[in-house]
Amino acid sequence: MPGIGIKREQSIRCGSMRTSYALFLGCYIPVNQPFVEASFRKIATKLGIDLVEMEGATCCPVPDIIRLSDYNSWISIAARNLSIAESLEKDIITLCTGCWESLFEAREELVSDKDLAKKVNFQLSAINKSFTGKTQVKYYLEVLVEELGIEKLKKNIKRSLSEVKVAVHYGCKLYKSENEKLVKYFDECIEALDLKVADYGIERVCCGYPLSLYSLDKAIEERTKWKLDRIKESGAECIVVTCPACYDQFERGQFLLRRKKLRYDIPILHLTELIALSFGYSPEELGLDQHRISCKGIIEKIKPKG
Amino acid sequence: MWRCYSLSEETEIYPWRKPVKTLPQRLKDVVVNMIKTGHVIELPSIKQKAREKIGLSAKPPTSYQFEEALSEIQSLIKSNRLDSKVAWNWDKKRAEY
Repeated sequence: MPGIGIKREQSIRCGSMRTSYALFLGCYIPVNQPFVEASFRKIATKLGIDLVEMEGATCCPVPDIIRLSDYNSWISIAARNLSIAESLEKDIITLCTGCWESLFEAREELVSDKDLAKKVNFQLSAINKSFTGKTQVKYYLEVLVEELGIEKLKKNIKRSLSEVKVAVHYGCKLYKSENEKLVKYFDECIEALDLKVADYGIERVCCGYPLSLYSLDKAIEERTKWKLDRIKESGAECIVVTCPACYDQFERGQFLLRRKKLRYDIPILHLTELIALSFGYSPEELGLDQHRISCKGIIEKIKPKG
Repeated sequence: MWRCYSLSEETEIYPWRKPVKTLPQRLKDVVVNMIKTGHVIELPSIKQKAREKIGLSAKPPTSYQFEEALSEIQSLIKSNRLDSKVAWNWDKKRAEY
């Protein structure tokens, strides 16, 4: 138990208390990128984060599609998901930036607009659910850096990744955080892992995923290929992402560009996978063999911490 | 209270942020999957096996696993008439666009 006057946050940093969150999985990660879920569950165990399952959760729903297709469906489905965490009396932790954006923004809108909340609650009452706004929505980087502290992450590092040269792709949604703090937290994690960072000059540019919903060819040609070319030139051995849609876009882009006789073979890794590898988990137990672009070259460069 | 960028408005930074009246094909496919599974993509058996291989449950504890959750989300979709945007036929359980 934290002592009187000791803040909860401080006691967590001292390692005297575990923290607990409702885990929101979303769609892309559990289906197409289960290695992200596996790696995060392992990281959470090591760092003392208890994950409570959100039984019956659905798509967040995906902001780039459902919000634009029908606002009322988007806000009511998001409110239903938030209500599940409320019934668990937990804050939500998300692994997907799209889920974070959708749930965070839906909560903000519902909390600040009482009439909207009333309308949504009327719809939710038909399925015996309600939204109150008592649950916060956090992206996992916020929990790792703000709540647990980067030192705790560093203390658990057992393997060195210092020989791996990465191209960091932030993705658009991290820039939506307050003062772009999630971009800084991403950098702090990369620094803590001691990775070599390739400067390719267009880090801020979108991967092309949102554009691909309207024109896949245009998205690949004007965004994905542009980034892949620059990343290849920089000598980076892999791309590090936090967003599953960016992951999909870079992977799909590389396969589609093979049709034009363009071959990149640049593996894409989620930050959670790199953290789990540095914590000493094996590539097999994390599911790195499920990547469609081989991570073998990266795995060979992981050494015991000196 | 801190607020995000303008949420449903087109801006220079977010040019796609405007309501879509007629859904493009790829968006329709996503809406159809939402109605069918509660998620934007389906979970085929090969993906379930891949999950199990790395120690995860075959189906995550979401509407993939709980039918009641799926009927709840379908109820919300129906009451907001999102189903009409893909001409979803509830009897035949398919889109007729």
